[in-house]
Amino acid sequence: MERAQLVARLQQILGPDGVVHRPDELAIYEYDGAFDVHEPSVVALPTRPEQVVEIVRLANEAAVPIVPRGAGTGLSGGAVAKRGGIQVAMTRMNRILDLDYRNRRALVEPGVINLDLSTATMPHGYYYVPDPSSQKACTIGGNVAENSGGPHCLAYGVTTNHVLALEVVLPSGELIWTGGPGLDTAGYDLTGVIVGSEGTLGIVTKALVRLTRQPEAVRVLLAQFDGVVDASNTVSAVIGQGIVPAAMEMMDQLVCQAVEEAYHVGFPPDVGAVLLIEVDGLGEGLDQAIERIAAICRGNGARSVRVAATAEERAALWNARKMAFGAMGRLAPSYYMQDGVVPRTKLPATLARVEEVSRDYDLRIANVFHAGDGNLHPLILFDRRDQGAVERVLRAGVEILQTCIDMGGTISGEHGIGLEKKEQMALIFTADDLAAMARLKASFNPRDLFNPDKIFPSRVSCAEVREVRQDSRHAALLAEHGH
Amino acid sequence: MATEAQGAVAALQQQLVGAVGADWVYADERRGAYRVDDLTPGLVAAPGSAEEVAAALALANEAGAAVIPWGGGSAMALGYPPRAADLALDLRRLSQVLAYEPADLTLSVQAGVSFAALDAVLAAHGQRLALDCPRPSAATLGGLVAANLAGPRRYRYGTARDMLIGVRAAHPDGSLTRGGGMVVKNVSGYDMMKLYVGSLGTLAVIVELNFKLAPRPPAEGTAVLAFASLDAALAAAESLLASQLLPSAVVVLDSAVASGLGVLLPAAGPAGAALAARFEGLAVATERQARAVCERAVAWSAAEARMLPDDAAAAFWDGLLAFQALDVAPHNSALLKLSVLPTDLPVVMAGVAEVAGQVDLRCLQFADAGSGIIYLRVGQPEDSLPAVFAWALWALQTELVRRWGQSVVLSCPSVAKENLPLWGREPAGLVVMRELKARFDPGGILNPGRYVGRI
Repeated sequence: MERAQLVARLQQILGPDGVVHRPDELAIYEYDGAFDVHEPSVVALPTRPEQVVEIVRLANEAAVPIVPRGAGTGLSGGAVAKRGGIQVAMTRMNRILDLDYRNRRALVEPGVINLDLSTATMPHGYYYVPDPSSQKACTIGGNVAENSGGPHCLAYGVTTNHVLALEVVLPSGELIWTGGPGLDTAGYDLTGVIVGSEGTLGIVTKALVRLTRQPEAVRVLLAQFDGVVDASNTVSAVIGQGIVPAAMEMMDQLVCQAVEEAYHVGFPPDVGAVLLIEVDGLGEGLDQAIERIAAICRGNGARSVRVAATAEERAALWNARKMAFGAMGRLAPSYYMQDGVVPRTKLPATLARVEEVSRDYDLRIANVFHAGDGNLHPLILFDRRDQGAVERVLRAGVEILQTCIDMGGTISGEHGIGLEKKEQMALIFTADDLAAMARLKASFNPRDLFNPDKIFPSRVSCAEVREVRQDSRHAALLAEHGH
Repeated sequence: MATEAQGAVAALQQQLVGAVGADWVYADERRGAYRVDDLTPGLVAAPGSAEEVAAALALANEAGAAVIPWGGGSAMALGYPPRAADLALDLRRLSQVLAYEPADLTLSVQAGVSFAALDAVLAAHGQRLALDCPRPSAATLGGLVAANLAGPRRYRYGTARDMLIGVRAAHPDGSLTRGGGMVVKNVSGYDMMKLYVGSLGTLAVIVELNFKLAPRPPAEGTAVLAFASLDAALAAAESLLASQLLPSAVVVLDSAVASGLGVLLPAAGPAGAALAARFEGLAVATERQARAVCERAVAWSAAEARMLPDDAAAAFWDGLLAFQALDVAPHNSALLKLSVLPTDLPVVMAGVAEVAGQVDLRCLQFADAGSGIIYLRVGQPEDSLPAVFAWALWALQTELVRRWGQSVVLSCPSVAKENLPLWGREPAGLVVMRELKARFDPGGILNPGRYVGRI
């Protein structure tokens, strides 16, 4: 189908203002929060699930790729239309359809902004737990696609633990609910496999999500350390002693310096690392828990421990953490954020290795991350104008991922694979592992029109993976059993 | 024909001996322990490693032999009778804890480890897998996850899908694959764990599981309130769930279940009901919460309230879990599970009792009020004809499915399964589910016919 015809057909479905096709306007949709850039052929802005069905049918008829998009804040290239085609931006489907406090759930359209849901429910004593750093901009639909996390996922789990059911347009064009209204649905857990599938298995048109009662009480503690090793040992010790805080966040020296310079929060210039720990729950017991945590901090060499006395003080401590990314501009014009995960006890060794990578590649690396989950976010600082900087940064990034793998961890904790890390999938998964994932994908998306070129390494195509494996397996079996 | 079939069994047996060793393949009377519905598998193999499981699956696949994956056998009542049962694959020799670092709060374990054995390992480090298991000594972790069983504490801690962070599975083509990993946060590739949880061994055989663990709470407290009616108990439950108290479980029991567990206080009267709330955590918090519930008794118009001593509380919760065990199947009885909106519980529990009464079924039920789950036992007297019971169960389940959709018969006599809509309303995604089955198990050898849509 010619591009002009595709545009015309989409305009029939969506009306003239529901289709973006002029080159200057398309430029906005060619990137997300990662490095890769590619222009879609056309952007569709549906307002109703039925329109999404029509768009998917059209994509099938025209055999063009179809790429869902939320707010475009993703950090792995998941929303980039690598092969062109129709990008379906879900931002106009942004209504909160039902807030059912009695059953502790909300029905939302995918374009609802993450923070808006919590803002709407807070006055009633409820909130939506997953709180990615981009929560002021990112959409629930995007969170579902990426299985997003955030600081408060330590005790409460990530997006997948808060999604109860999805209305989704399958690649076949069929519109189905994967579950609901009850929690249990017979059959394979389609909700569970669609969450985190990065737009390759369907387009979510409604999400039924869990609302959580606000805790009765909250305590926040900020501990300063001489270095990240002491702070990481503290993290392991807290978990090891049977305390799972609501959040446990770390900032290293570089980050603390930048935050102090930018916002004057009172960090001494030589502070080596800061841990921000939050516990919540019943009033009784919280003081005891925070006292135990404070003692663990001191036992692991904390030079100061401060417990926020008021809500304002709590907010001030959290602000220092939330402003960290903004403060990075003080250190360098650009940064590249990695997203690796390691078992919590491996944090000290991993951070030591990150420091070596920093020296080897002559790049400054700042660390601000979800320490309680073992989810690292090394920020590799650079200046695009420097000769070869981007390439060096990417190589250092891969080296850090390899370190995470060597430590028994993995290559993405909450940002997704997308385009950015698909080649590294081969570092953690065998051809057989990937073939099983390919079978899952093909069960939903046999024509590979939904967000193609994502997640799977490109060097070996899925079909090749399958064939190679089957041949070798067959030969091995025959040899083994003497046929 | 018979000799041909016998010849095929003998050939497969010989190949299996080659793959898992002569000591671990049986075709003798020991097969009798692996009966599923009315079928006894012709062969049993007990592989000793993940690789041997994969090899056995590949051989069965080549032979077109139907495989029944077998853990502790305590949930074998679940699902339709298999279309065939040629080979039972006993996974209990996969009994190793592979990796356990307490300070990471994660663990990797082979699928054949029993829940009780794992719990003993974890208890030594003050940790646990926060999952309710009705038959801890028998149930294996692989089986528990494949059947996706859970109890009332799911309200606070979630179900297997919320705890499984990594998986290794054996496939009919002989491959072994991993998904996830040993970290608590992971978006690298598809969430294969979700695919296998609750899939009843119809897609692959789980051989290893990695779990996110939880600290074992230092204390717990249970409050029991008696009410004059189910509605009053359910209203109190809703009020409790809307508060900022943090129960790990809130259940509402009808008078029969409450009496059976010894918690229906006489003051409640014959049509009474009971509410039980379980709190886990620091002693100072659990005590306050259990007390707070009792203090609200008057406001909630409860007839009576009390806090259970620890041993009585443990016996009560164990008894309640036993109520939902699938392997307790007296003659002419069945266990069902409904999943509805918590606010619909009053209507549904009343409706269930009404429909059961109409078709002459004795009915006992309790609700996991926090999650909107009802467990229901129905039965007829021993001397009632099995066909009469089967008809009554069919009539009940058909009506429950018509009204509320998500009703599953977890356990019932094999003869009653024939035309029963056992899994409830057909899920909207059945087409995709069939695709998954066709691609993961193209030969259709894994638990054929037992699952949703007779997959």
